[in-house]
Amino acid sequence: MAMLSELLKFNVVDADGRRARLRDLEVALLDDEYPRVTGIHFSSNGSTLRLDWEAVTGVNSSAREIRVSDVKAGRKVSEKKGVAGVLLKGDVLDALIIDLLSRRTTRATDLRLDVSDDSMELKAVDTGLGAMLRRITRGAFRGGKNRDMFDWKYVEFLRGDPQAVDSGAGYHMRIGRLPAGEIAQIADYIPYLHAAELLTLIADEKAALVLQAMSIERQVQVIEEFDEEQAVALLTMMSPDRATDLIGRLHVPTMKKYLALIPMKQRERIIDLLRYPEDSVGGVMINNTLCIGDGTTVKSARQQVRSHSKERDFIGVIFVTESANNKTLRGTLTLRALMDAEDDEKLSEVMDPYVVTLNPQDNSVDAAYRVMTGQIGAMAVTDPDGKLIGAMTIESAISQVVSPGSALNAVKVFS
Amino acid sequence: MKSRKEGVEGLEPIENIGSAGLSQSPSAVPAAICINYRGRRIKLHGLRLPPKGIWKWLIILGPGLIATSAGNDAGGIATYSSAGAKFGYDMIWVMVVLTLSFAIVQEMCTRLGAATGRGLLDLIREKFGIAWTLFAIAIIVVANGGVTVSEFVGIGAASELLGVSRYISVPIAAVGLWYLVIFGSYARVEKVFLLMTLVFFAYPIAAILGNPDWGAVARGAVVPSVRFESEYIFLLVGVLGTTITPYIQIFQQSSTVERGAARKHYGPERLDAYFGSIFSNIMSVSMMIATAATLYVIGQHDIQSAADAAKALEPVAGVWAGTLFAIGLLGASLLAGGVLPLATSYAISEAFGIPKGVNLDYRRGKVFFGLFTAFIVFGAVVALIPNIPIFPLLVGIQVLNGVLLPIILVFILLLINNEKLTGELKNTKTYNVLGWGTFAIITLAVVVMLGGQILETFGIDLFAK
Repeated sequence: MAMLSELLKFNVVDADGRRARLRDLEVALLDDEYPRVTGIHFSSNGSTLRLDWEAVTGVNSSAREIRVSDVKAGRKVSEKKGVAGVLLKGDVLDALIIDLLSRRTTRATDLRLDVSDDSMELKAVDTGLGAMLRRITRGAFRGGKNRDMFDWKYVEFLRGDPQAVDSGAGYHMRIGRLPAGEIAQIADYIPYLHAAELLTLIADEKAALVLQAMSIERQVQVIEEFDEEQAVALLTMMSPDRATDLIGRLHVPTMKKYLALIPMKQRERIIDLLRYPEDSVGGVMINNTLCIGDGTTVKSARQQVRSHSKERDFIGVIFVTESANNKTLRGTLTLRALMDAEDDEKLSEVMDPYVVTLNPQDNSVDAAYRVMTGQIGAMAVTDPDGKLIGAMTIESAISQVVSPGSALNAVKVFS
Repeated sequence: MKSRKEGVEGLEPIENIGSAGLSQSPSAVPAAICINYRGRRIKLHGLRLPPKGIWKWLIILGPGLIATSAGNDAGGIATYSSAGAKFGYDMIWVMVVLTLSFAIVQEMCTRLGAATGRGLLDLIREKFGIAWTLFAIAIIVVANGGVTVSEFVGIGAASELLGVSRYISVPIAAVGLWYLVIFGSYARVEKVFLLMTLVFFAYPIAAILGNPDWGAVARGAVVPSVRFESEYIFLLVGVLGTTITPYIQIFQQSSTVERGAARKHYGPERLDAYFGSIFSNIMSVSMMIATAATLYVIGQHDIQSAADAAKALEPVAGVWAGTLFAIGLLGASLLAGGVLPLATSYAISEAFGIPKGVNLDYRRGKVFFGLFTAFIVFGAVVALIPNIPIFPLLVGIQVLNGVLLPIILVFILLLINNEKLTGELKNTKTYNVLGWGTFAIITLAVVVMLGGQILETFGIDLFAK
């Protein structure tokens, strides 16, 4: 085992005795859980050269030497082009890292590598005081505690460059294993460019879930960092109400451009929601609720529930209307009640007809208390003719009453 | 099951049940834009449109105005008042020149924050390594800790001038600031801090009450006069160091980041930085004018603290001038008493990658809020120790900040010129000339100050007494 801070004091020595100072180690992060060193960077005659690890003939820790066949065989590293792999000193050391086990951010103060004669592997990140002392005393201090070490297997490091993935930079790609809400929590307090970069490490569908779980201010910063295609893809995959909140905060020309590119079904839902002011029920409701005609049988309703469950805003309340085409609200039905009922019963027989509705122009905070004190999953929102136009969910209600900085602002659990 | 069927039979039409009995409209219907969609004209009310009229400009104000105003703290008031009392209007030109440098430095920090989304210590750690970071942090902690104490001393002194014991005012101020930051959002903290900047208007009013010779003021502003006297030189250096201070840069960048500035729409933040620098220096000049028009004229040149200035003003310029000075000192100390612990907490958190920000809830920001709490408690408790030697403390802090300032300026200039970091927002040539020029002046001033202090300990005076 050796620490990077110690390795950086090693010399690169070839068979003819030519010496050069080791500058950095390059790894391919995607190759393994514990990535191997794939190249060494060293300085010779004022320029930085690179050699593949295959050129290394041995490592002599006591003499602080990395032996190579020929120092002169090193290829010059172009600053503009950069390198394909990840540089341990240049990219990882002092960078912001996320420990996926504790879900917290810290900085990589030193790196621990497993060193053998023919290979080096990145094993852990040292974040402790010992690592700091080791670095500022240039190795005179040799202590450190194991509890400050983070196993590399559970570490994600970020560069603060949202375009890095597209330009072929290597990543650990482990962050995507966390639940969307937890990723969003992290993305909320790291710098916004890091947050945007973090989303690029996750599959689009999950990235949309993460994005909508972030604070709205952070969502705006992040989406502006993506190109048009990526931004539209994410807005399309978000819940319509969350996409509406986000799109409503963008600059008007951007908003119009994105609206024109979003697929029609999602676009119409967004435009429908954008008609209402932010502090009204219409401004916080969802509008892709499941509504089924009251003459429908329980069996058929269950099938409709199953197909609707793929929708982003699936909630546990079914709104029973006069018919599939006539949205005049007749009652509501919970999923539990639907499960309890007999297959051949009609919805009009099993629904709860005593429904309290909200007007889309109602004040959203007043309505939020109504939903929460009523202890229901969602309250119907109807137009003056009694036609269903959406629902205020318990999540929307919570977001209206918690403080602006609260993580509960973006809670999306029940739908 | 049967009862439910009965219920259906007795159901009144839904529309007659009515809505939940809520108010029928939200508090205000915001402005909307119209779009044509598939032949329909639709009004979109759900957009967050930028405000119009005066709000369009007021909404820009934030980190820039707060950070620069916090520089006019208890120590700043003492320095500017002292400059006026000792040299009349002769130092106003320094503030005029300094305004440009100050605005340039503050704007660069704002731009750096917007371009990278990172605080200054984040970037120092990432680009210059752990050793420079620890060096900066050590000085920031000691210097800001000391200045925080001086702010609470200022709160105590000002409140006693206004007839309230420091043993009442300091704990109340500490708890108030703590509560504001721990339980408030960034937006709320910013609003309260912005309101606090209004107290600085006390200084122009105090200046006017002092009945200054406006012709002499104008001459002092445009005609540079340098005296090669040790007192003048040290006060000049003091004015420089008080105006451009590391914690102002740190706070401005970190709060710009927390406010949510982004590189794609950078622009309004620039105006905030410029306006803040100009506003803050106008207030500083007002302090100079107030004491120059009164204390300098009657030959009362020795001012050691802001409270001294307020006390001395009363018999000369009237009770109101003294009271306004005291109110200004109270507001300024309160503002800086909140900004300094915040700037320090930002800096430490950034250096070590700890979650930071006023917007965090306590569970996620334990370390950040813990640091803030520790600084507030330290400042308030030490300030209540009777006969604390605040003047030597401030001199020591000035030395520390003096050592750090040129280094911070170099970092800022190197970072803002790093195209990989800042892209299109990197410095223009003009900015670089002005930025490096500021660095040269500041470094020279710091060398003179430190050199002078070192030589003085050996009994050698550089300049005439």
